[in-house]
Amino acid sequence: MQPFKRVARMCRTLFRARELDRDLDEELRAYVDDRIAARVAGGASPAEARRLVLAEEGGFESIKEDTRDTRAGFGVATLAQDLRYGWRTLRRSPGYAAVACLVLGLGIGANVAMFTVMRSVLWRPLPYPAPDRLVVLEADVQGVRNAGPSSREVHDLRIRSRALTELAVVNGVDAHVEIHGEIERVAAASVSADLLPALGVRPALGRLFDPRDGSVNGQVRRVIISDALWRRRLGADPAAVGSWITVNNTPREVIGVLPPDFPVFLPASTGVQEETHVWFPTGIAETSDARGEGVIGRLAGHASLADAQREIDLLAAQFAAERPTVYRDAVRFRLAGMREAVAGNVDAGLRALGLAVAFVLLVSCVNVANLTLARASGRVRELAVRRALGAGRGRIVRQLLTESLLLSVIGGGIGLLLGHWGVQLLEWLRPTHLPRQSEVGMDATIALFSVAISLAAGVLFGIVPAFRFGGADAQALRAGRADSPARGSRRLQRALVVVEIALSIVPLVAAGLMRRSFVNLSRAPLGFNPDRVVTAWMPVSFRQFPDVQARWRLHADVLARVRAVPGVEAASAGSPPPFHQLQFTRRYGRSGEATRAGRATQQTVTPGYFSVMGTKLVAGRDVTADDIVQRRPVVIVDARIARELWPRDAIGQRLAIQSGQRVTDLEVIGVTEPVRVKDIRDAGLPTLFVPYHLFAIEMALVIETDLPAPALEPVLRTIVQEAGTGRAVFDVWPLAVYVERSMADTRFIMLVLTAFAVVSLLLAGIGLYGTLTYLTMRRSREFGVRLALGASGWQILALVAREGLVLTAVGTVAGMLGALAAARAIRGLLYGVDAIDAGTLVSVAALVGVLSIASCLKPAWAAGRTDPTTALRAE
Amino acid sequence: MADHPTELLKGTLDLLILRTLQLAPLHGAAIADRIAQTTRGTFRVKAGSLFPALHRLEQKGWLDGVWETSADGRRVKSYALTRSGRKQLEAEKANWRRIVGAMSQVLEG
Repeated sequence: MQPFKRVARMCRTLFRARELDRDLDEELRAYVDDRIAARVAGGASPAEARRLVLAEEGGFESIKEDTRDTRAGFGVATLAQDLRYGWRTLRRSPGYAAVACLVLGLGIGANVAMFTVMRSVLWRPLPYPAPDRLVVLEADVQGVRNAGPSSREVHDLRIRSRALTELAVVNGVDAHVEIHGEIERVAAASVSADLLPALGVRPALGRLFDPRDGSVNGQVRRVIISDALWRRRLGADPAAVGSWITVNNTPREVIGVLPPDFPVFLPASTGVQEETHVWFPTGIAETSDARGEGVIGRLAGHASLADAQREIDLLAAQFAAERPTVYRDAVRFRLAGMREAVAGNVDAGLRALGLAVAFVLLVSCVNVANLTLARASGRVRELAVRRALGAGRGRIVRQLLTESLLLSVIGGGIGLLLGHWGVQLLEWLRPTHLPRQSEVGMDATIALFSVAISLAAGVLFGIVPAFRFGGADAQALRAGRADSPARGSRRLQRALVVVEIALSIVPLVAAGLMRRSFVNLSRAPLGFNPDRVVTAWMPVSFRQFPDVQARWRLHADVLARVRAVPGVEAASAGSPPPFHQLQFTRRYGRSGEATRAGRATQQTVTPGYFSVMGTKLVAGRDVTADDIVQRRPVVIVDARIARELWPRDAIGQRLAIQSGQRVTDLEVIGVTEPVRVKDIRDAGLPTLFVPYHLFAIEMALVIETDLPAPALEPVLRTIVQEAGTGRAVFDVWPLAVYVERSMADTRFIMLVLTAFAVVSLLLAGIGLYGTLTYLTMRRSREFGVRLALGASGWQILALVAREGLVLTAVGTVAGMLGALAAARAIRGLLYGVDAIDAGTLVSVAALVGVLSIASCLKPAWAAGRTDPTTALRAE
Repeated sequence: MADHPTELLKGTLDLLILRTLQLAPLHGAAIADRIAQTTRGTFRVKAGSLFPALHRLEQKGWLDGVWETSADGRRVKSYALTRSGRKQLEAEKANWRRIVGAMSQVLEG
């Protein structure tokens, strides 16, 4: 048939349905009349003939229904009809509809929010050309993961590798930008000429770097700046390109401005921030063996990641063969897809949350399935009447499913809204280490996803009730009391309640474990007290103060001025602050055995540091200004090192520290309590402290005071400017911020899991309450009989309450088994608590028990107060 | 034979209807009667299968239903074979013969 004819027929089906139905009626009537006439002619009475014909031919309503089904486009017409009917039915039971939509909305909303985050952070390709070909090159040397390749290796790989191209070096650095006498510190990156083109960026103004810009010997005079910096500090002046600004004490020419929408998503190991405002050119020094370069590149041609890895393993072996002295410690290069590297270690946490939201949605679906089942069993009479009037089983199933889908679509709408808020909530919770957070947002894919899961949810919760009750037939009518619940459906409802409770146990246990981990973390003995301490980074221009002693005098000068500020009780300097992302690890041992012992975090300290930090010295003494001025080779170790190497007395012993190829021998002058600085979870990594002159890195001021950090900031700014360090102070923060940040991920996962757990617990409560209420209502006649036969109200109450509690108990046991499996999956996120934690399991069980008692109370009470006369008369 | 009306094979009814209408347009009851008559009562088509089939064939464009006034003055819908209906009839006949041939071979060979 030609398409247009078909369309014409469809239109007739949709818009002339009444006319078509009239025709069909008339046609069938003619047929019946004909048949009757034939029988009358055969000698039957007209009434007898009519009875026989109707009995023989079957139900004419169902014949009509079957005939209508053949019409083109009838499915659509039916759908419209079903929707209209469904809408009316739902409006007749607004309570059910509202609860169902809300429950689904919660489940879908949680999933939409989580999907939005996971997609942006884990799955969406990076916004660069051919993003799946971008790779990150890491190098591990013995004992040090992510040590980073050396410049020389990058140089050689660029020449030798065939599987990798566009290898570029990129490292996060600081830039102190001085414009109109005001110094501001911004995040910056030092990049080789290939990097920006590899990320597909074109300059908004000016040009990008060419290889000549990156001079190897440090004579870097050119910079590219971000759009934001250009607008904020240079007034968006197009003439800024070609002008000179002072960055890190050196006048530099601005050669380009990047476009405003250029996203910077580089692996955390490169140290490049998402808000990078200054780009320095760097060369790739052919002679430097210093490790620590951030390196990205691209897979060449059709090479796969595995091909490139194989090639690079061979090249590593070549390097080692060519220069055995440099490669005494075996180096292993590691290639990773850039997207995975950017996502980094948030993967596990997000996946755990993703799993949790899936559970929430499942609980929602089971819940609504249960409500629907309860409601459908109240509609048995209606459905049976409709079947008797000629609706086919398929038709009823379709009708019930349409109602479910209608609910789920409304629920999906609510979910989209809740999900949107959920994502905003995430902004507010702001976990520190969520990469690509700026990209998290809703779009068409998210909308599509929510429609898809809404429909899936609709089918999921609608299918069981639909098939259970699609078959309702004349039996139900003949039974007289159509609303006495069938035994099978009651069993199904109970089973669903058990499933709901079991499913809600899983996120509850997970949330409980995370909460305990969080509490354990916040009580962990840090070895310092973050209260009343403010930290501030105070860099010093190396160009102005190349000499360590000159820098030390500058620090001493600044510290003296800070101590004079009213409200400041003590001040010192040390670096890096605890839990700052940059920490230095060293091998250590007894003198002469440096490589044999373990690894420790190394901190640089100045006199008074321990007292400001509240770190207890358990033996020996603090470093003194004299130690620094006299350049004494001394060290302070924490008790773990002391116990390990010199259980009797560590003071006066000699400690060897290995950094790269160099081993330094130091005299132990003090022992502190164990101090954690690298990772709050890591109790196994000890710390050692060297005085400033031994490792003169950029220092942070630590100030003991009751003044809030914002009040202190302008004061410090003035002091530092007066002292003339050539750099700005920055990150004036309470020390507690560093500690909180180190727990931020745990806190975030805990909060989100708790929210999910509360939602699913509520859902389970609603489910239990609804089911019991419903079953009780349906059994009121039975209760009436029991009461009439002499049972007391309390016995009835106990009957109902027992049913609720048995369901809860079964669900709890089943849920615990699931929770044990889930807990094993999140073991890596736990701290100080076993995956199988009796305390958590018991409290979750108690919580669920209390909730189930609360849910049982009202239905049980109502059952106990059943009035036998009313219940029996309701017949 | 006439006492045991045979279950219609799937698809057979379409062929029977098309064949019946090849000679002249007929209305519903007449089609059923004619089928019963020509098969000597082997197939008794009831309204429950007849009307859905007629409407399906009409939707496919093989039949054309027209309202007419019958000899005794009642309005009836009579169905006529369209041109594509004739083509379909030939195709189904050929198909049927193939089936019959194949079945006979199996049963007798």
